[in-house]
Amino acid sequence: MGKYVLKRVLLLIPTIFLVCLIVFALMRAVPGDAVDSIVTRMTQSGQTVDADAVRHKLGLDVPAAQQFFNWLADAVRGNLGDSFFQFDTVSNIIARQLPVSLELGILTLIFANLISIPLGLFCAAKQDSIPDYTVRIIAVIFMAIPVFWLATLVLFYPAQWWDYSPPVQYVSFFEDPLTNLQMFLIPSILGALAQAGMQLRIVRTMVLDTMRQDYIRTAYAKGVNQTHVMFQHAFRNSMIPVITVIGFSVGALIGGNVVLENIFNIPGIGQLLVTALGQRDYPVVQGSVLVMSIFVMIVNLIVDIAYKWIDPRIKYD
Amino acid sequence: MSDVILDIRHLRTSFFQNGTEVRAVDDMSYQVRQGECVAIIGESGSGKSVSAMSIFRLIPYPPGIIRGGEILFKGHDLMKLSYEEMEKIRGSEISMIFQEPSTALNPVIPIGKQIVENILLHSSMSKQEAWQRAELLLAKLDIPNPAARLKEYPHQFSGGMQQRAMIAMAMSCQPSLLIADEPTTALDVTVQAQVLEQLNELRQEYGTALIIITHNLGIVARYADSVKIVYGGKIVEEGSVRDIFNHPHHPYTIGLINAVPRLDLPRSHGLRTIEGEPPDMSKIAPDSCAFKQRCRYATEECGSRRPPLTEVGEGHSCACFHMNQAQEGAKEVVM
Amino acid sequence: MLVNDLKMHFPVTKGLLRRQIGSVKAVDGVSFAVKRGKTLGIVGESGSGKSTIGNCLLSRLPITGGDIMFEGVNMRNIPAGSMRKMRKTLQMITQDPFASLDPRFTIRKCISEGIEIHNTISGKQAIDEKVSEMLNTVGLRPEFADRFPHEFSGGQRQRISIARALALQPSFIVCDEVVSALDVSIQAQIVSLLMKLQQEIGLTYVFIGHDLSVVRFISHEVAVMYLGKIMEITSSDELYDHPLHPYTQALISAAPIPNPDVDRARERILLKGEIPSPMNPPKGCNFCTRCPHADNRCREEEPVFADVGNHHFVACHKVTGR
Repeated sequence: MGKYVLKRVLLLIPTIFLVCLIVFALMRAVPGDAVDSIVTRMTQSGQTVDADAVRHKLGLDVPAAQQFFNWLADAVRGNLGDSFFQFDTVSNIIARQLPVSLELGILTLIFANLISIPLGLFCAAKQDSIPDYTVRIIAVIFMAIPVFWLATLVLFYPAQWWDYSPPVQYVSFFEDPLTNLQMFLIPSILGALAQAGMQLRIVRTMVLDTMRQDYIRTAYAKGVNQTHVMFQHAFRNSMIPVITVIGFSVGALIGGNVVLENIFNIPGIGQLLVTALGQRDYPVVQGSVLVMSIFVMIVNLIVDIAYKWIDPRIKYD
Repeated sequence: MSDVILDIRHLRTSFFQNGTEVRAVDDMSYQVRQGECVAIIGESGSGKSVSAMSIFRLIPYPPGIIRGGEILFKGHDLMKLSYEEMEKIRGSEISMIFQEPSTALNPVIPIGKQIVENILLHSSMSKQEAWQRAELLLAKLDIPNPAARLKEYPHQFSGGMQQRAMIAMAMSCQPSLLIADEPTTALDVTVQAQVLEQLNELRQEYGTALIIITHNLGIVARYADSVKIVYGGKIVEEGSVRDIFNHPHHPYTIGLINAVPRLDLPRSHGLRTIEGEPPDMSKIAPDSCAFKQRCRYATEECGSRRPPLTEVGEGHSCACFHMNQAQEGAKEVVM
Repeated sequence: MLVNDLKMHFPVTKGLLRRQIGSVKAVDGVSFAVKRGKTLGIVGESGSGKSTIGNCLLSRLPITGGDIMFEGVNMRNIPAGSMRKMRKTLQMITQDPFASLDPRFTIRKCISEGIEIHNTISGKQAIDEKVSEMLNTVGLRPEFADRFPHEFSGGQRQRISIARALALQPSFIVCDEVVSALDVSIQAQIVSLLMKLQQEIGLTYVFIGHDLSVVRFISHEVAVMYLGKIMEITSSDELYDHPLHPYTQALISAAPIPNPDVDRARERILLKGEIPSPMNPPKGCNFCTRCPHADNRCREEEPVFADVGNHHFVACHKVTGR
């Protein structure tokens, strides 16, 4: 087992290298570069600038391959460079914005599971009854509704009726947990709804599938009652595919909540990435993609280890 | 008779397929005495497994439903028990072994825990005592190093050992009745012989009656006391094991016995086959003999009326209008 | 067909670099002969390598060692062109006809596909006639030709796969567990059909199975396999009357006889333990871990497969040693 984890961690290195290389190449392939963007902006504000000087200052006057290896060499030493537009190091920016996204992602995940697993079990137990259909139809509705539309409604109506709006200025959880939660609760529940709709359907299908297995019949034949059969014999077996889905969604939750972050003005890494992409802020884009891909790969590793813990048949060597 | 522990009367179980009723078990009655081994023989889809699952009231609903009949176990009608009362009987008074041990054991729970669960459900033993009992059972079934093996998972066991673990689980509360549905079909021949022998010894020690559902006539000849031949959801012939094998009356029974190659007879002895296919249960007319299509002796009468089960000897009954003819025919084969 | 010292080892690899750490000796030095127009039965339990032999005989697997001679030709060194012709004469029927018949093909297509590939008959009408003839031969109505496999029962599907094999007019058929999945009454039908075809067309069979009674019934000679090796070969009647190898004796004893008077009067030999893994077979005689008569010699030295007279071959120190 330890050997397996080590092997997987070592495999991270070539994977991450490839990810960085691809992101770097794609960034340079996009028309227009950071220098243009800076020069245009400075000229508009009445300053005269020398494009070549800017290019040299940003280290963009050397061949692309050299730029990449310069960046990589710094990155390995823990230095992700400075942002072209914000007067700060990339490391600092990420350190400030990543935890915000993490909080949103983790809260979303918790709500998605709190909703989907009990409801999935409930639907499986009441298969093809009216409550089952009702829950499943609602699940489909939440999967189908675009989250930005729902988010707009959720912001608009409370504001109109009760003059309530969630805080717009980000406060860390440790400074003021109450305000912080007020800010995060609504977006994370909204994000969780679509995720829960999908997970619920998978949980339901898997539990039903497991309930048809021979060993469930054996459990009934021993005189185990239905609730026990469901929780002690069926639940663990049906969680195996559910874990896979959760694993997939973690990656998406960290980087993909751009829409919610924008609507609720949450300064997360999704927002950071979108802004940086528009500005051609190369170091920020590269740095955040690097950090996010490491994160996603670690989550995948945890999922694989969780498999082993749930299903003793799985062997890693 | 006081030693009858199971008395099934007019059991009818149906399945609904695309809106039509398929009578998987159609008016079946039989008795099981204390400690006796009853074999139920039939081909796939004959309703033999469904009849056993009905005793357990483990028919998946929908599409299956027990339509009627009484299942008297030690004088109480199981059909009238509440769900909770039935749960108390399952695994303690009546238990069951299935065909595929590899799928009948839960893959993510250690073997020992699965056995212990059964013991704890139905006795006042402490956890420790239950584990000791599980260990003792595995040792009785010749599993080496039982204490360590109890902690292993089903996939670490071979097929033969998995089935032994199933037996240990089923016998852990010394049930009065054990139902074994094709218990060794999935196992290798020599392993099958071991497992059956161990099962039989354990069952005799505990005085457990056994209903063995199988299509293997050899196993029946070796272990059964009495035999029920099932065809198209009905018992077509029943009797003691010697009556059935030495004096079969029903054309189907005769055909079945002659269709199995005999290891102890020279090859020249030959095989007699039953023509045609096993019946499609959804297409059997309710007032016709189910075997009619495949029977050499079938007449118009067989299609208009269902032959009743009539006594032909002590404890030996047969449901056929032409059994005398069939017996004459059977003699020709043996000669 | 003559088979001499046939070996089929599957490599076992480990890790990223596919380092070979051992091999499964699925078939390890097996020799036998199949006479034209006769049936050789191969009986064995799981892991005995009986199905692997079937695949080797039809050159479906590249064999590790030994020779397979078919009608005087060594199958190891025939050119690819002749191999195609050879494939036509050598056919195989397997346990699960449902898996071997393409569910989207009609029965006509299933049967005629081989004919079209090998170009034995040309012309649509001629092929259709052939299909009808084949269905008749195996006892199915020619009208069935346009139905799909799922419309048939297990026994009928097995008949279809026999028809498909016969359509190429083979002379040699390997039957791998062909009746194991069928009901008792249908088993007898298929066995009888195969025996009838043998008499009429003069087919040669290798009949592989785990049920000793069925294998013995259809075969003229029976080979008993255990962990990749043949333990005993003899004529079918001799096998029951005078089994010499302790494993054969145990196998016969384990197979119950469907008559209570006969079976309950028999002496029973019950083997202990389980079949060892073919990845790690015991030293000496393969059967020594479960043999009731094993001694030190059996655990050290592998017995030779020897003729004890009357075309009866055994690999056991206890039989051949003294």
